[in-house]
Amino acid sequence: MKNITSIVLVLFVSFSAFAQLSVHGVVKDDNGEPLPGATILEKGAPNGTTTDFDGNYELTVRNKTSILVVSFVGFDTREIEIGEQLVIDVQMSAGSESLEEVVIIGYGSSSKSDITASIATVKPVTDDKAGVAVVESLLRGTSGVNVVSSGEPGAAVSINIRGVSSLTGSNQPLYVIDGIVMDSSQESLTDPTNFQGASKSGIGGVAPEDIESIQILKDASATAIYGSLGANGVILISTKKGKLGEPTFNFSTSTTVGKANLPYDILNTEEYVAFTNDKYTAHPDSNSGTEYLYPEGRFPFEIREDGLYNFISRNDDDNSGDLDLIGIYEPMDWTSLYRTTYSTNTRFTASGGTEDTKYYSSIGYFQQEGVLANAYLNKLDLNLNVSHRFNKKFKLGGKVSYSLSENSLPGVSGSNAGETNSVYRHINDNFPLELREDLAPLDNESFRLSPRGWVEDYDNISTENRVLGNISVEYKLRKDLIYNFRVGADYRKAVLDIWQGVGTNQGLSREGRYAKSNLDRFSYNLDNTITYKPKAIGEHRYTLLGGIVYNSTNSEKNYTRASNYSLEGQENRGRDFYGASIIEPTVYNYGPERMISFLGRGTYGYKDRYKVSASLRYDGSSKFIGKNRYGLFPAISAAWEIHKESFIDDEDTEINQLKLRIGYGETGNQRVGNNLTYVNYKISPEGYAAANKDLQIAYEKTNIASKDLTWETQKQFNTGLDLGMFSNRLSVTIDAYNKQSDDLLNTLSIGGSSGDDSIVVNQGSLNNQGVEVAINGDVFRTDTFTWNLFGSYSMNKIEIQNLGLVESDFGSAGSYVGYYGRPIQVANTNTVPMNVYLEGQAPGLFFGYETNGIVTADDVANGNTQVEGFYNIVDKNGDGQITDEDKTIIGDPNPDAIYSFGTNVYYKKWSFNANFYGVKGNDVYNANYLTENYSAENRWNNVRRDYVLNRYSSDNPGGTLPDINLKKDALSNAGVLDVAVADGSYLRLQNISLGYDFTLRNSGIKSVKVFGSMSNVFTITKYTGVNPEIASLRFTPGVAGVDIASPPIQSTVTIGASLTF
Amino acid sequence: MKYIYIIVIVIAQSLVSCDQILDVSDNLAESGALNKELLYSSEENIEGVVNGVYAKFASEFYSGGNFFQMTSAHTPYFSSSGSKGEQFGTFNISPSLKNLNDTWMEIYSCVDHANHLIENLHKLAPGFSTTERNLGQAHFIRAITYFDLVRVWGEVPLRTVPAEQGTLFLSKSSKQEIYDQIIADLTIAKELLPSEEYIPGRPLSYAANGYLAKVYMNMATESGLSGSSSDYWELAYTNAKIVESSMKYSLVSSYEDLFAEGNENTSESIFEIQYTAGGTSTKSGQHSFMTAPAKSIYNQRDSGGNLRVNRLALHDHYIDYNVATTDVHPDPRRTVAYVSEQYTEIVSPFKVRKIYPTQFSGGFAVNWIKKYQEVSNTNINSNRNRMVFRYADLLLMLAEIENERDNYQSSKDYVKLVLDRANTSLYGLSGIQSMIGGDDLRDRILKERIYELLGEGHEWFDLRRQQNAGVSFLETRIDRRQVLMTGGDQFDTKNKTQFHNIWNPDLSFVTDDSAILEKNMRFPIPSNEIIGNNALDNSDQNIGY
Repeated sequence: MKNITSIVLVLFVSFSAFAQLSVHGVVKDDNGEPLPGATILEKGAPNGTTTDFDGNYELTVRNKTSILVVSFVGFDTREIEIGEQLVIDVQMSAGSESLEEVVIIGYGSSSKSDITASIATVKPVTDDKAGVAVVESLLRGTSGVNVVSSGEPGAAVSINIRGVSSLTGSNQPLYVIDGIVMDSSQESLTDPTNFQGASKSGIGGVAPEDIESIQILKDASATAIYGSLGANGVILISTKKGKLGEPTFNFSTSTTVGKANLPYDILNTEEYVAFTNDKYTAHPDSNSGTEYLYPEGRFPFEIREDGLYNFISRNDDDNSGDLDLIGIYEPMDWTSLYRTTYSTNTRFTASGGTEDTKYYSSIGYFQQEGVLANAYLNKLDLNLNVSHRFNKKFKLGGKVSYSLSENSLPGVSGSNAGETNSVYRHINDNFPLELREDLAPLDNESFRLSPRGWVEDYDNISTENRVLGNISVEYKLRKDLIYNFRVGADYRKAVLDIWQGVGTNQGLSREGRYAKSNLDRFSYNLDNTITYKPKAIGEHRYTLLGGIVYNSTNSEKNYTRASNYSLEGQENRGRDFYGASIIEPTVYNYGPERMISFLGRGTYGYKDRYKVSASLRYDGSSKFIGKNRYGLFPAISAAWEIHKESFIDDEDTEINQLKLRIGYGETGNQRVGNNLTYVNYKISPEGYAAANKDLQIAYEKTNIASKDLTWETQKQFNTGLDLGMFSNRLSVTIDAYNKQSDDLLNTLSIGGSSGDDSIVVNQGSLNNQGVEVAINGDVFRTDTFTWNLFGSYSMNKIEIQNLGLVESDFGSAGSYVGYYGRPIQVANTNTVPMNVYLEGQAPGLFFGYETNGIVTADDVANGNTQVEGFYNIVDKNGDGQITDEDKTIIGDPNPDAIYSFGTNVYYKKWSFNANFYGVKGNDVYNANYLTENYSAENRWNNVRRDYVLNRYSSDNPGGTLPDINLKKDALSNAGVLDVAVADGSYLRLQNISLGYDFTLRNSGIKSVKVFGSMSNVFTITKYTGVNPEIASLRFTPGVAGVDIASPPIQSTVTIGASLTF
Repeated sequence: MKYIYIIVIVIAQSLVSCDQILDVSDNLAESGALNKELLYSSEENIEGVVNGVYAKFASEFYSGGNFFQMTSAHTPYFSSSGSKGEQFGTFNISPSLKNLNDTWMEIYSCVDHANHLIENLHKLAPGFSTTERNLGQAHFIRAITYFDLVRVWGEVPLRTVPAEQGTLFLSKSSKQEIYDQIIADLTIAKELLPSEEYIPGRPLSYAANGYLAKVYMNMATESGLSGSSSDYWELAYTNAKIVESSMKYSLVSSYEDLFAEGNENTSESIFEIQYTAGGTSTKSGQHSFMTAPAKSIYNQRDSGGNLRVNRLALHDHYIDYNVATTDVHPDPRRTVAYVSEQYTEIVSPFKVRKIYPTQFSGGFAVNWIKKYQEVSNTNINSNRNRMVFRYADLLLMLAEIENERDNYQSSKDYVKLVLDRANTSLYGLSGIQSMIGGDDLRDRILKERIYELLGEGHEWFDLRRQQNAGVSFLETRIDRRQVLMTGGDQFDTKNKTQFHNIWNPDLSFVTDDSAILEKNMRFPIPSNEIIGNNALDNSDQNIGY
């Protein structure tokens, strides 16, 4: 095998040696395209070079017997005798050596063949990423990685690697960008309006186009080097660096047009009016008698001569002798608020380098529209990566990246996202008529609200300035001893402006409400590492790494709320508190975090085929006190490259790689709030008045001290097999793991009598077991035509263990050790937990009532005491009453498998690819379903068209949906019903794209590529909600798989072009 | 090799006392974060912590809103719409109701804040001159908070020291233990609170005596406590007399002045919650907002008025003083207590809203409470204080105590004091003087409490506390209201028999069934508490829920 170390060495070190022959030529790939950056070495001599951007090289060698070794990542290395030739053009062929790429691992790098752990690599091709807004989306399709996105511009994308390993602490992986430890993705501004706004992407500052590669460390033997940060996996992102050669410029631009997918129908105005008039004139409420009915010949909505509608009250409050007019309305299809979106992504990069200095710089502007007029993301970013080698010992690298983004996220989706508290629910729920206040004043303020308020009188705009930077020093103390020092810094300054005008539910009663929230966060890490890489001693090869790492974060969050605005202040949308008659005291929250860590890693290889790697990290964290402060995280892994054994390594076999890996590691998760180990106070927003009406400052507690808090620990065992066949035209990777998480960080809901409703404690264990398979194969491969198929399939089984609670009855599901999840608003008045967390079960099972159709008149005649026309709740314990005792487990939100597959086709200058993504075997609780398929007394909401067709009535006793005029609290009291649980499996054609690549000779332009793509092309699912990809409440502990107020996804078409010159 | 030295130095530097690096509390203090060391370091800061306890007591979810609205609505005198009141007004409370849960949490949060204050004053600030009175206030608030808890929920977890990780879950304590704690706290408060004004609007030691009297009155009518009923009446008398004889409090000469805007912390006020409209946009006193009609000069907001007085109070207010027509009434308290007859909206199209008893339409023949009217405040938060304990209440308590102690004339004299302040002709019209004493007087005193104290948050407790001949006043008053609803209302000229499921709900199901009546003597323990508190299970839920 090739000596990787020497290639690495030559890449970084140049020796100038006296030479006698000069050879030159062009290195090309199998398509005849020049290969920039290929390495040319003289065998056995310490000299070498790399090709420039046209694939040209020039090298002086000792003599004619010298042998050139030409290598390039992803291609077979070739050896060429020089002989008489002075011009040597080299044709490289892709394939069997693709395993020899350099893989970035924690605090270092390794050749792929030396990797003993489960690490997935994503190397996006630039053009594929056009139109990809967020980095996280690039990871979709990687085996073992579950990516969930709401699709709203700038909203955070949830990534879970190998199932869920924490019940409360974040389940998001650690992101490390060029050695800079980043915010977890959901860390963001406080939303002081007590709505949970959508979380925002924490690594949104990095442009996908600037990414060279992403390594996903899934296995604890790889992540243990990150100690108490590594439990959820680590995503290492390397951005592009300059390459040797003259300056290269790239300009790319793309435009995307999108449209909201609305998977189900609601009534249009005409249908709604007919439905409602019928309801209020012919269907008395069962309990309240006829008082809701309109008099003979009168209707709630009476059409006028001008085509508008009079909305009539059934009362005559002013005793004028005629029914009161509530208002004049015109027909309105509220889904027309969804717009066709236009987004653009433009980017310019310049890169190049000399032997000593290399640079890569980029500037990009990205502008994305959401389906609502006030949903958008505008982002400008500037990046510079520079490295300079002072001498053969000393190398300095630097990076600075700045981004400015403005993100407006109007969609409110939270545990209290009631019908009027979320625009996406409101659009479906509001009756399809709009007030014409110019014709008649509104009589009843409760009809003031309409979805338009969310679009025109609501802001949720965050503006963020972010600077990422690092400086790295590499100093070669000896030939085999390298010292690395790196400072990485992440600075964020963000402001969130929230305005809830009188057109919104929250603003109406307060004459406008405004909140300003600030985040000022600076974190840095200092990494000191020493790497010892001695020469191989016979068949033995080893390396050692030792280091000290210090992480420090200071953050200040604060927010101020104001309300009761003057008209001018309302027009000013609350900004600068102008016109506010109430301004609350500013609430501050400080989050200092410190971590000091000592780490070491050793690797050992015997005969270049038996490899062992072991690491150890000792962490101390400021989040914990006393003996809980320090933790030790060991890992060991080994690999056997079977294909190098003599019994396989012969000419006949088609197997060119067979590697068995096995590893074990321990990691931690400390991603919980700061300062939890002691009682914290804040300035109470309400204060307390003095007798003279001055508002006095008042302090209130914010938590119960969790003195015994420590990190979650995770022990993971992993075994895997890498197989390469037919010159690596087929590669298969299989991994199996068993991941045990203990001392889970858990936000326990504790009812309230303790003085608080929740506390963060270490409690319980989780076990994840799974198998992942990834296959990639070139079905055809010729010079002009390649057809590639790829796919991955990941199964995960998850179980809660050892919660350490008292066993109790969970309705009729039986007796369990367990607890209830976070209460969610199910109807306008009730909040109930939808999920339960039970020992021996998967986390977050849905808990509620089973139903058996609708209670019919016959049922009532036969002694059923439930309300006729509502769901027939199954009396599980047979006591004749429907109580909490009858609740049971009605669904499981955890997917059995996630999978992806797709194809790449290359024909001459054409490229085509398609990506499918699917999730299988999970249930979804559709919290919108019941209110959209239900009608109650004195409710004016719109309903799905299905409801009208399938509702129960005396004429339609076989109806599957509730009767038309039920008591309002039938739904509230029933809470969680199995009818709202649906199979959430889906398969989506995520993306297809077609590209054409051509060169314009003699134009100074090296290449032009034009492409077109479509995303979210179609989805196959039985789910009847908006989108089976459930992003709502994804970052809220104690909730799983609940679809509440989800935005519709966009299907998009993108066209774009990329120019390299 | 000089770089080796640099590396060694860098590493050594990193190693220096890493535990010190990891202690971030110093950083916190520097940045101004609020921890208890900082808060208990000065009298001024401690004042803020004390205010924090009052803020919890006064908050929207407790005395400033939910609790007031829910308890009021859960009586036959009031009805309510909206999530905070509708289920209560229709006597159909779900244990999973969000607002019920919020209220429970806020009440216990108030207890928790008091517990922390008491513990930290002893530990961190024993030497300050204000510590004694601060302790007095903390014990006082904790006592009256548990008094609310034990009356509304019965047996509840009793927590008197801050919760820690090991003590998160407590099972229910007996009523005896809770009452003992309340008495212990009030006894401490009585000792530690000053007897002269120290901060305007804050309770004096006599307020603790007054509450002790209330507590003993309640205990006297409870079953299953260790003492005898007559002992408790005696203790109630002793404490109430201490308040009376202190001469610290007196009736304001005019009932109208007592509720005039701006006239606060009067000589009549024994304990009054202080509110200011400039307080907050979210969590403070909402009693003005919820009791006065929207778009009116009493409440200029576009919404509100969800808590309304139904015809029971006003109708009997006429009858009980022998007044047969609606246009004359000798009791000036009527016009102070009610928004009645009609009002004109203050926004276009300036609709005239006509109200009972002059005229009514639809099902909305219900009044609003005018006591908290604010003619110019447009903020959602009230600028008006809430008197939760005033001297007239104490006099009527004394009247009730004396009746129970068989001192009927003394009892009637106390009632007369209260009525005479309103109008000296009332006592004669009322016919109280000719009552025998005992049951008839008890019944009348409870009604007088309604007429005097309507909308001040006493109805729920009074109706469940007392009974005549084994029939609770709750049952009596519901039955009376049902009679008015079904034709017995002489002022009702229109929709006589129209029940409205929010404003005039048919409550016959409550009194028709003794189990339902018993259920409605309490609120349910919120389901989140039963779920979340490991020491409780479904069998701990109150009867009927």
